Amino acid sequence: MIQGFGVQVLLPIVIFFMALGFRVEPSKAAKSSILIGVGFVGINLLIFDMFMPEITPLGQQMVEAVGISLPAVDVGWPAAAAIAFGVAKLGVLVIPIFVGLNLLLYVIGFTFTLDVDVWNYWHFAFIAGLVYFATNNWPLAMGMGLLLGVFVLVGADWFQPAIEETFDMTGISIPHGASLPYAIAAIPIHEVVKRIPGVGSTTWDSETIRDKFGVFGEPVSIGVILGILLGIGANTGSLGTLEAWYTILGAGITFAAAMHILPMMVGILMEGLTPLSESIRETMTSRFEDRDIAIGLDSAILIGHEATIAASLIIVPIAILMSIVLPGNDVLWGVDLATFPFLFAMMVPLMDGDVVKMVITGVILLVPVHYIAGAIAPLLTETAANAGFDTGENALITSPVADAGTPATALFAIPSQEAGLTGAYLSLVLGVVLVLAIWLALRLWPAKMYMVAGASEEKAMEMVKRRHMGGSAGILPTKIGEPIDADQLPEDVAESD
Amino acid sequence: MVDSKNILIVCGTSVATSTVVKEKLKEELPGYGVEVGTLTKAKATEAPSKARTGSYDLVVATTSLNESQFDIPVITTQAFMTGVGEDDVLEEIAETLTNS
Repeated sequence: MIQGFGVQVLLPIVIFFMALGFRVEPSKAAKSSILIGVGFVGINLLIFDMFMPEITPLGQQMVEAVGISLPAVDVGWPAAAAIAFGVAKLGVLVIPIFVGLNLLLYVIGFTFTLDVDVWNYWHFAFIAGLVYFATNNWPLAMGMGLLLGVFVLVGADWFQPAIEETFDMTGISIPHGASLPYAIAAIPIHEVVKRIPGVGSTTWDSETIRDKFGVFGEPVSIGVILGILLGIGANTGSLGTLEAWYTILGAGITFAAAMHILPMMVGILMEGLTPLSESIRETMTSRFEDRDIAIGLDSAILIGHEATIAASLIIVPIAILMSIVLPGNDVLWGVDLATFPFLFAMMVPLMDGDVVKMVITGVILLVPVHYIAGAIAPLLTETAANAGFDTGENALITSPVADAGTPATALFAIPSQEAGLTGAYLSLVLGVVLVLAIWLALRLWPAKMYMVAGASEEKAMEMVKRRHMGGSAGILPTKIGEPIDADQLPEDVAESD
Repeated sequence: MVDSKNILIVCGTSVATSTVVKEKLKEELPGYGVEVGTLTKAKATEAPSKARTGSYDLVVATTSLNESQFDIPVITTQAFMTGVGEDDVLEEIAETLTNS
């Protein structure tokens, strides 16, 4: 049987032929597909042969010692991505199907974004995989994955002016499966947060925060500290013995190793995917020369922002504390503690880079993140097992920040887990309604929508001039309802081209 | 003798976009007369401390960095991911390296 090959064999074969289909040279295609297999072997060794067997027993001992039960181990986004691409029937097929769908949606004028960030199609594969193992219905699962894709396309269009303005990146939008849902969820939360007395008047200096919390930015430091804390928690009764300290310090190094080596392993996977992703980029962008186009890229390009880094450092200890005090929480934090920049990346324009607002919003978001990531853990663990990753006995895995705990997972995967097919259809309807609502709102009140996402009035107007002056892009209209009156636009914007 | 140049490539995670840049620089820079030494990937959070080790001639970033934290030139670009203006950036990188 094909399944008998295992993902590290099957995936390279599929990727090889797909790369040939997108006209990658055979020798390059061969080398990069082998690298993808190698990356999978690396992630498997590290997370499932080293990290899980060391950390899971400590978690169980901690329950006995201190009475806190956190059964869902956070294996982080790199493992989640590998699992997503590793579901043979869905993970890789999502790539050519979504490329085709995106091209179609651009041609008819449903979106302005061409998502060339092929690596991040894993978010769509992640949802598809979860839905598949909850419903056993392939078309529905693939449809749900693609629906998340379409959702982030219209979301990317929506946030583009804000991102262009704040980060000075013209013609780039961010159709990211984790950052974008968090940013959308942050809009109503921000409305509340900005009304809290005192918030908005404090100015926290990002530089100081970086100096004070800088240690949390180094994944090895987070790893060691977390491993040692877990070790101590598991050995509270025997802290006087030398054996206990062997385990405690050993856990520290194991944790640090996972945090440090994992990105390198994913780097290998990524390197293998690069030639394919470049050919896809050329295939997608070369045919449209004269229309407003936004190249969709990874939110990783936003993460250098001082406020994002500062907020991501501060929230690490808060998250660990929350996992202990939140009643009924299942999540044992791990690798994803280094993933918080993706949660904050696209909120920067909305909150004017105010670190205090970002942290408060982040903390509020973390409450559902814990519960969603815990609730989806059994299904994710089953998905991982089917993708050929052995999670061991009685162990649950999750990846809270990306993507197990995102609003997108809550919307697109949790209903399927809770209610099977019925739940999946509910997700489908809600998702389609949401996508159409955003699309319609962007055509009815474009300037207002762009400002809601954090663009200034001036920038929003510029974008309206670029995109929504009536007529159609492809087939669909760029403006619905009242046409934009050019006289109402600020002079310099209306005159410039 | 041409000195080989060491470049620190910075992105959000040191995984995704920096890999694209690394592959591109490895492939293209020799054509611009630059002898490439090591190409090292780094996260935005750890970039300043890595750059301060003195082992690098240039930072190429895909995400905006606070340039005052670096004592070597920083070039920020998304050209390698979008494909727009790739040649210009490669030229700028080569020029900065040969003048350093």
